Amino acid sequence: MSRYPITIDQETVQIGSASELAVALDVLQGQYDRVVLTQLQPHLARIIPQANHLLTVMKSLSADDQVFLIQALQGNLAGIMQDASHLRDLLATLAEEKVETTLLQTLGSDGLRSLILNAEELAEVLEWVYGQTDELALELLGLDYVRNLSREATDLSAILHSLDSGLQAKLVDQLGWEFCLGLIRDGRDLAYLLWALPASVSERLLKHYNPVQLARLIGNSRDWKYLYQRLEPEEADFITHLLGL
Amino acid sequence: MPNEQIPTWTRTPGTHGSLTPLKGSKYKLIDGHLHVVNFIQETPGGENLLDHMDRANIGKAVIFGMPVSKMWTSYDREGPDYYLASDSPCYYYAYTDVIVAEMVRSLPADRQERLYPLICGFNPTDGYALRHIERLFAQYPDIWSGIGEVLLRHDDLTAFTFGENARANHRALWPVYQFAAEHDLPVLLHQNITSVTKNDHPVYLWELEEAVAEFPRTRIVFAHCGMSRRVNVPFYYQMVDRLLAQYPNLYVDYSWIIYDVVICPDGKPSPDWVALTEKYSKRICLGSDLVARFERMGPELQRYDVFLDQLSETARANLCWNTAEKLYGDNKGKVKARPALSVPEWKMPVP
Repeated sequence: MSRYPITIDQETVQIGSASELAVALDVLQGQYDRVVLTQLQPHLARIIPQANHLLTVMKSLSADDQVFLIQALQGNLAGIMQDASHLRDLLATLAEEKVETTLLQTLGSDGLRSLILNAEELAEVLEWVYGQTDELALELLGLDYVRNLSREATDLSAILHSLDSGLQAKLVDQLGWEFCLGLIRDGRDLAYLLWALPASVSERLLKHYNPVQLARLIGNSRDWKYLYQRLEPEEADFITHLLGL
Repeated sequence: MPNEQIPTWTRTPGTHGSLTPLKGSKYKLIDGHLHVVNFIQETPGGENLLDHMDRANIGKAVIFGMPVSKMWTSYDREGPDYYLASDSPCYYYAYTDVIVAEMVRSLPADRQERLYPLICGFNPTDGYALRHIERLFAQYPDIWSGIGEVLLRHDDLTAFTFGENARANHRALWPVYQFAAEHDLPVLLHQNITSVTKNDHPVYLWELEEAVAEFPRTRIVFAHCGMSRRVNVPFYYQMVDRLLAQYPNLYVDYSWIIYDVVICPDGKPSPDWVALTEKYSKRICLGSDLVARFERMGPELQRYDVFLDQLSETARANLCWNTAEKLYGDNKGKVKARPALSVPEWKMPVP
């Protein structure tokens, strides 16, 4: 293991791993975090080669120093994160929006796309960020990429589930009704999407169908029951009225 | 098992930060209580261990695995890395002893001598527990220095572990204690003195005392004097004093939270504990009780300096080195039956 020196108050120790760095930050009582990170900056990618190592060090840092560390790792960040589950786990432990934002921006579009490979992974990442950071993640991925991840209604439903209602409506609009309706092949697909969406957006979706199209889509009493049990009261009223039931 | 309650794992506002603790205690010592395998049976390895021992001024270490393994259940999205990391259960994992033995055997001979490994990977409520110990001694005859840390009463961990609750006086341990007596092996026990909500008296102490009294030829080491997370009672040093006075075969280690809670609260050594330590230093070891986080050995053991400074040179040498060396070192690689106790032939007195 290669080790790199840090010097505080004329005392020097060698640091070679993330766990050694974390314990050094602890015994320094958080008073020299930025000094230590700056001294080690050229070597940080070697000291922190994997996502669990990054998590270990991040837990010892203040929000400002977390931002500093993320930026210091720059182009190495996607390689360190390895896959979307590690990105999810890191986001789950971050409590400051500015740190989450910095993490996503530093990963960038290419980095995020290299980590998030399916809709479930995107949904799990979005689960741990809120509001504008959700929006930032979707912007960085790009609408075409999100469309590619949404191969079935369940995929889009999972993604929508992780967003607040305002952003759900916005994403549906951005993806386009034609794309969203194209994912609905039967009553269950319809149920997945109505389940994920707020009533106001559900109504807009249902208005794209006339009663005959809707009845054909649902197709049978079993799927109708499945769908109906998952509707909010406003949605239930609307669809019942639409079908003349 | 250190966690966030230990001062070296937290940051104290107003305390001046320094890199000095990373270099360990100013006194060279034996870490008398060190798990080299964690709750998911991972270890950083022998070279990593010895590297950090050198960096932390630790000459030797009493090492063992982790007798239970934490399950990654279907409901754990993230794999738990500690026994308290999720609600999933733990189960006895015998292979932990093989991990330790192979780790030691992979080291050069002169480095192996710095490690005193113990056997721990058996279910202490299983009547076949001794069979495991015998197998391990047969398979790795030159490795072992004793038995432990046997996890018995352990609050949350007891609740998480499949099967019957383990305890010091469980009859499945009787053959183990007997074997230890016949082979002069120390047995390191984790036995909470009480339960989490019974902090006014030690409800489980009698279980330990029953075992210690029943096997007077077995050297039993009471890990961290029976203290655990959220487990404390009044009159602690008087209780330990009484136990050490009453049972010559009982030893204790100062490790984990006992040090910070009662021996040296707020970094100030308790005069009562200094006096007790002077009195029984030949039966007290020091340890970190770290769980495979070797990089923390330095700060963990350096925090004992303020207490060690208060001791006489003799008592300090005993705590730092001599007691552990005699207790564990005398047995390393020399496990064999010792002569049975010679009992005079019984004759009915003639009136």
